[in-house]
This record gives sequence, structure tokens and C-alpha cells, in this order.
Amino acid sequence: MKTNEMLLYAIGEADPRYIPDLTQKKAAFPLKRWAAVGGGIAAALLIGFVALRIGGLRVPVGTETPADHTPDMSDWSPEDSWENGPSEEQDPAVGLPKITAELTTGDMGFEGYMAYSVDELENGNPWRGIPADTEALPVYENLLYSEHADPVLYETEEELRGAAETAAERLGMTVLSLEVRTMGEIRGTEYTERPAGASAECEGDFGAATVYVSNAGMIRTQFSDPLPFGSEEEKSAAMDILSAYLGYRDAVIAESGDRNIYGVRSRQYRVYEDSSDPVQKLLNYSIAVSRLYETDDGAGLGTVWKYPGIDVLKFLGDYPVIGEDEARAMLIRGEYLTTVPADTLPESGITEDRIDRVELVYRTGPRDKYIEPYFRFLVRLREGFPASAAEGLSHWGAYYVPAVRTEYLAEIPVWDGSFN
Amino acid sequence: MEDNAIVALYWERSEEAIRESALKYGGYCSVVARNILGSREDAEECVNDTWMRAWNAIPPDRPRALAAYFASITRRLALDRWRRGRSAKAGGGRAALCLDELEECVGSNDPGEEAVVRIALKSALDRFLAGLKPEAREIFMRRYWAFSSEREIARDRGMSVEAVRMSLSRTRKLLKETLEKEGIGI
Repeated sequence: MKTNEMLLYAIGEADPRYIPDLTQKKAAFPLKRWAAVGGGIAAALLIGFVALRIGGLRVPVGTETPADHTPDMSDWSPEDSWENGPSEEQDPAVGLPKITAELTTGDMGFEGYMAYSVDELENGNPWRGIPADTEALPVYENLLYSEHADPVLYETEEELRGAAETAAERLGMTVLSLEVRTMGEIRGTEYTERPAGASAECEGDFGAATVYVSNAGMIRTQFSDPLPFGSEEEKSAAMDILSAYLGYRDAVIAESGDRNIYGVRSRQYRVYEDSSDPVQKLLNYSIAVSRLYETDDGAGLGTVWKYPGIDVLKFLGDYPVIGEDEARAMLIRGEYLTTVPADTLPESGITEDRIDRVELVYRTGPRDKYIEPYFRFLVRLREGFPASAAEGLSHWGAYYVPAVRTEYLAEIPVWDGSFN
Repeated sequence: MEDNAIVALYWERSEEAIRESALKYGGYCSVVARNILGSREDAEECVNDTWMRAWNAIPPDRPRALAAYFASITRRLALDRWRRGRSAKAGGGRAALCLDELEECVGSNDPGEEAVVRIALKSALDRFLAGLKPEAREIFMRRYWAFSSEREIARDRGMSVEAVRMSLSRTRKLLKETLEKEGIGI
């Protein structure tokens, strides 16, 4: 390739802030719109495509009718679910299959958060660290996981229609029209016969909405008129509308967010069932969660996501876990998983003084074979990164250390950040 | 739909991700592809390929600026297609013109160690763009990132074509000086 051609390609890899907005006319500085996506996206995506029945329900695969897959939290008690889990007498270390801890990585984007202080990154996680007396935590296998294919929960048109109609009904909405789309209609020519999702145009007391059910089991409701969600009164009113749909009896709303390079804060919410049992509460927070997204202009809730839950996980057992001190030591030794590029750290690497936050989470990424606990550390990245950020902003990267003791892990691929 | 919700759709492996991407950013990406290729049909194929690239890349990618992410893919695909298909400058869309103009800055030699030069170019270009005045930078990027014509840039910015041309000429000169200092180019 000639040098001028290489320059043309290099311009294509310029800082996204400089990429022109061709949709804005006569705007002197139209680029902000395109950069107004903060690292919160990364956080949002940690809760991937599954939400699950928690607490050890071991539902035999293939024994239920499709309709049984429709999320139904109405008769579910978080505490009750433990009854199907392992008995207290069971030795948690006996007969546990080895699992893997993995974190897929790409070549653009990473899990990072910008804020003026780490306090702004509060996310409502009930487990900041791990109680000293915690010896074991539950681990699940993702039944929808496939090494070579996308997850599919609803395989037929009838299943998708049923799920969409049930969701609309629980929102108190009338279905005006319902369309099942095939993969071909959406993607082009591949898999033309396979149903990809059902889209229902609905109407209710609070306006119009589109309920979309994907074949992976996710249900997304998009409101034509955003639901106000600023004040406590507005939140309460919105939750009144959503409560039957989300199915929580004692819902907790956790706000999180970070800032983009201009310092503008984005907000999102997760809703989960409260519990007096701390482990159950962690599971509810991490896994059996619904997500509420504000519209881009912050006018209110634009989209609500509900995940299939219930039948897509298989309880494997309570796995012995390490403590926070050990996890910190592993982190500093470089035994962690991350999507954060290595060159965003200072030359000294990860040091104790750069660890500003630790919490315990269950990662539920779409390609996670096992749903298991991790220590999640927020490490302050090197000063001045990114150079384009507004003055005063700091950047934290997320680093994961598996909480399950290493003798129960088949392998721990350690990311060295080398892709950048 | 909100950008973060669209990204989440990709992570959900919901086919709706592609539909929503096309709805929100199809027009934007089409302009980029058309500017490079000059053909509506070719541009449409590039844009369709963009969604498939994104589908295969997210996850694990976590784009932080969705418009830029999609448009960058489209731009790369369109440039690749243009390079494969060109037999002469004529009929090659605006990419050929831009290439000629950029030749002022770095020449058109085959530099040999391509990987090394690419890295050096990117690094020098990043610094160069960061140091430009915003107006000059936007005009430069409109021309060489989005392949807009001088007339389009002038119209959108409320400037004369001559003023745009002058700005581009000055910026190219600056870029040439910068690259020469870095030992890249002619």
C-alpha cells in the first residue's frame, strides 16, 4: 500500500471525537452528539442476555412447554428458591465439576468508567467486597450457551407470539398488531425461515409502546412517550406501571452511571427483588435483574428490558471462594481478566493505591458458559487518559478476579492487554 | 432507540440490533460509503456489510461511540472496495481525488515496512489532529474522513468554497511539515 493510501486509512482511525456528523447541517461543533456515549455502556452490557432463576432451581431441560418459559415472577419467592438448592449438609467441595473463567475481548472499546470521583460510580451493589465468613457461593451453568451458535430460547413463531402477548398483558396494554420477523427479514438472506423475534404494537393508559421479544428470550418494551423517572414521585408512578410486568414484590431500584469525555453524566437503573438473605440479594442484584434505560435526552425511561430468567440456568453447586485479600494479591500479580488495554495503566502497573473500589458480581455475558462470582476491581488508569477528556475527569478500568478457588477452575486465561 | 440499548441488543444476540442500527445510522453510513464509492448500489452493500461486521464484533466489542463505530466500519469497507475495484481515477468516486490531495503530504511511495509506517502515521496523525484548531480540523475531517466535496462542506458550514479550499490547503501543508518532522512521507 502506498503512503498516501495508508494516510487515508490512518485518518479513518482517528479519535471518534473528530469524526464528522454528516446529519447535522451548519453546526459549528456537531461532534458531541456522536461522542455522547460514556463508558456506562460497558457497564450496561455486563448484564447480558440472561437473567435467570436464582437460588438453585434445577429445571430439567426440555420438560416444559414453551409457554412455561415466559418469565413469571409473580409466584416466585426469592427465599423459596433456596429450597431447591443444595442441602446444608452437602459438602460443597465434593463432586463439583471444574468450571472455566473467561472473558472475551475485542479490538474496540473496553470496560471503563469516567467520573470526577469514584463516588460517582456507586451502583447500588449490595456486596462491596465479601463478608469474612463467606466460604462458598453458588455457580450456575448457562443452558443456552453454545460454543458455535447464538442462544435461542423461543424457537417457534407460536412461542414468540405467546411471550409478546403475555408481556403486553402484564403491562396492561392492548395489542394492536403483532408481527413475527424471521432472521432473513432482519439480516438479509441467511436463515430465512428462523423466527428472530416478535414485535407487538401496543396501547395503554400511559401511551403507546412496542413490545419486542427476541428468540434469545429477552423482552424489550420501548415507550413512545418516555416515562418520567426523575423525582421519587415519578419513580414511584413509573414502578406502579411496571410492577406487574417486572414481577418484583419488593423492588429495589439501583442507579448507576458515569460520564462521557465532556463530563456529561448518563444514568441507568437496575431493578431487582430485595431479600433479607445477603447471598440471595447479591444474586437478585447481579442476575435476576431488569434494566431501565433513560432516553438519550434524559427525558425519562425510554426502554425497559426484561430477561428470560427462570429456566436458562442450571445450578452446579456451591463453590468454595477466596477472600478479598487473596483476590487483591492476585490482581496485583496480574492474575485477572479484563478488557482494559495494558497501555492505559501507568508504568508501575496495578498498585494498591490505584484500587479505588471492589465489589462482588456475577458476570452474565452472552457468551459466558458459567455464571459465577468475580471480584470486580475498579483501578484508576493513568493520569491524562484519555487526553480528550474534560478537565478533572478520571478514568477507571474494570478488572475481574474469579472468586471461585483456583482448584475448581479448569483454566484461567489471563488477558495481557496486548491488543492495543 | 438509545445507543446503549442498541449495543445491548447486539449483546443479547437479538436480530433487532441490526434493524435498529440501520434505522438510526443507516443514512449516516450511506453518506460515507456513497462519498467514497460514488455508487448507491455499492454503498448499500457496504452499509449492509457494516451491520454484519458489527454483529460479529459485538460482543466482545463494547463501542463507546456507536455512530463513530459504525461509520468507521463503513468507511473501511468502502475504501477496501474502492481499492479493489478502481482501474483509474475516473469513476472512482471522491476517494481518488482525496488520495491525490493527500499525496502532497506524504507522497505516494511504497514504504516497504508497512506495519511500522502505519503505526507511525497513526501516532503522528493523532497528535496533529489534537493540535489543530477546531474549525480547520472539522473541515479536514469532512474532506478526508467523510470524503465530502468542498461544495458540501462550504454549504454546511456557511462558508465559501474558496475558504474551504484554502483551509484544506493550509492544513495539508501543516500536515506535511508535521510528517516530515516525524520522518514519514516524501
